[in-house]
Amino acid sequence: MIRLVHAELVKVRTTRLWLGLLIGAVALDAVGVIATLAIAGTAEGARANIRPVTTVEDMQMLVWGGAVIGLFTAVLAATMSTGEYRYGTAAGTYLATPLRGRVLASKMGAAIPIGFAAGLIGGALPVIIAAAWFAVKGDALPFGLPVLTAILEVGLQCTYVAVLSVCVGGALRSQVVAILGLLGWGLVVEPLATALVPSLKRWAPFSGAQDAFGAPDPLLFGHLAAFGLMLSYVAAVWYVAYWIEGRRDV
Amino acid sequence: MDADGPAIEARSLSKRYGPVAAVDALSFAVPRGSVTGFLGPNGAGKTTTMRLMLGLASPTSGTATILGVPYAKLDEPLRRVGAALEITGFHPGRTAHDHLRITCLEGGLAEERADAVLAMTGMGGSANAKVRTFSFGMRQRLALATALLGEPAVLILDEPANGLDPAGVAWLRGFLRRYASAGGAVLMSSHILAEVAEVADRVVVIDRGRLVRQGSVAELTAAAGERVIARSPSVAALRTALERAGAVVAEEPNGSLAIRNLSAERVGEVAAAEGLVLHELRGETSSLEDAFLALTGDVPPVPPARPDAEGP
Repeated sequence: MIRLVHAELVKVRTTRLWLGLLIGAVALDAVGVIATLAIAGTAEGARANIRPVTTVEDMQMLVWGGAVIGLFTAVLAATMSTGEYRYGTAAGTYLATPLRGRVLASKMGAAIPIGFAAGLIGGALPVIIAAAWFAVKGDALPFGLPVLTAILEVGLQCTYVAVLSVCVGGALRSQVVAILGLLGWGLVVEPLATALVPSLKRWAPFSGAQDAFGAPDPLLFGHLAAFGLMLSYVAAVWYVAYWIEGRRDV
Repeated sequence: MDADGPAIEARSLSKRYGPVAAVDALSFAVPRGSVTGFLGPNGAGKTTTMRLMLGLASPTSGTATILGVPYAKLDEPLRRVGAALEITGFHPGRTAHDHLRITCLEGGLAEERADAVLAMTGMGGSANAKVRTFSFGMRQRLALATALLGEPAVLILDEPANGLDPAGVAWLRGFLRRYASAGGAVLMSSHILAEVAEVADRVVVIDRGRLVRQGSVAELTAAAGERVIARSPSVAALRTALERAGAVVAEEPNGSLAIRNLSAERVGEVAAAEGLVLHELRGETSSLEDAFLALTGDVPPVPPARPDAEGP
């Protein structure tokens, strides 16, 4: 299984998609952090309910915002599964590993370090930008263990999103449908639904993950229950993908 | 694994897509140490059969085994079976070497095999080029290189000569003959019947998913029978006389007559008796193409030439 996970990681590394997505996600993350720092403490910031970053807790919030890089991991992870059909490489993959469940498991295994690394980048980037921002202004960076913990939590959130997205890609096969579906769900459906019915948030696959691995929210379950819920989502989508993939003609 | 049985065996293999039977109760075997041509008209079910054998599609009924077991149950399958199918794709942004390296990792093979098969298939100079820059022929060579990675005992090749240049075709022919001589088993589909006739020991002919015939190339061409070719300035009269004598006569595109059911000697006697001049008279053994066309009836109608058509 380790060599299959290694093969999946080499597949990702030997194309440029990951680099393009990473650059885009880092840029998105950076723009959000700079905008937050720029308007925090101003009248516009107050109207947008953005607090100035003065405490470790404020810094934590800034780091949790870096979870936007989860979009990158969702798209990349989905293409790990759907790309096999888009480029016709699925036949070669299944000739080498005829047991399709092992292929899906190896992709999920490869999504773990990819998602975690992306999450660490997404979580660390706000700290790096804020450090530069505060250095220019001559202020001290609010920093402490909770900030490091928040970076780790963003890493875990993105790991969860990556593993879930690999399974979504495995179940759907079509790359366009998988990517649009994940982005549409993450950017439109889930935010809209949870805004209209806030109690839905605790059940939402993406924003519900905040309480498993991140910002505490009274609307959400506790850490352990939320973590269990996220695991259940992964298990359910994995089973659907496993069932479909095992019966699919290549 | 079965050490004595056929390398590949299909037993009552069927695959239906709704009401359409792509493969219909197909049974045949591919012995070890041989090259078996897998022939059939377009849409006969050759590629589907190969996919069923390789576990890429599930049969509706029947079984396919390689070295005595279904493909999915083979231990280290890339060391047992090498396959190059039309449907096998490559990521266009990956280099040839990276593609092979990934296959080595997936198949538990030494990564050095990637360099070895690239050199073997004449792809050494393109190892670090991206697949998107490859011609169809180079992709075909890369597919063959992938199939050879595990030094397998069985090769399943779908139209392997497609797109290869003459040097590539010659290399492939020599390689397959040496491979079979060393005990390997090859099942290859091809539309280039002359190529199959040169390289294959046996052929399996299918049509509309069903087995039409299997046997040695010699058996197949012998079954199609011999014919006599005659050329005469009085084609119509000669044809009438021969048909009266019991021959089955067809006119060739060059104006000569292809005659069955009469020997060359008898054709000469009939022509002499009618006082007809012959410019050519010879016996001819049927080619694999003749045998194939006789078995499948796969001769597309030739559209009539338009008198006002412009020349090239």
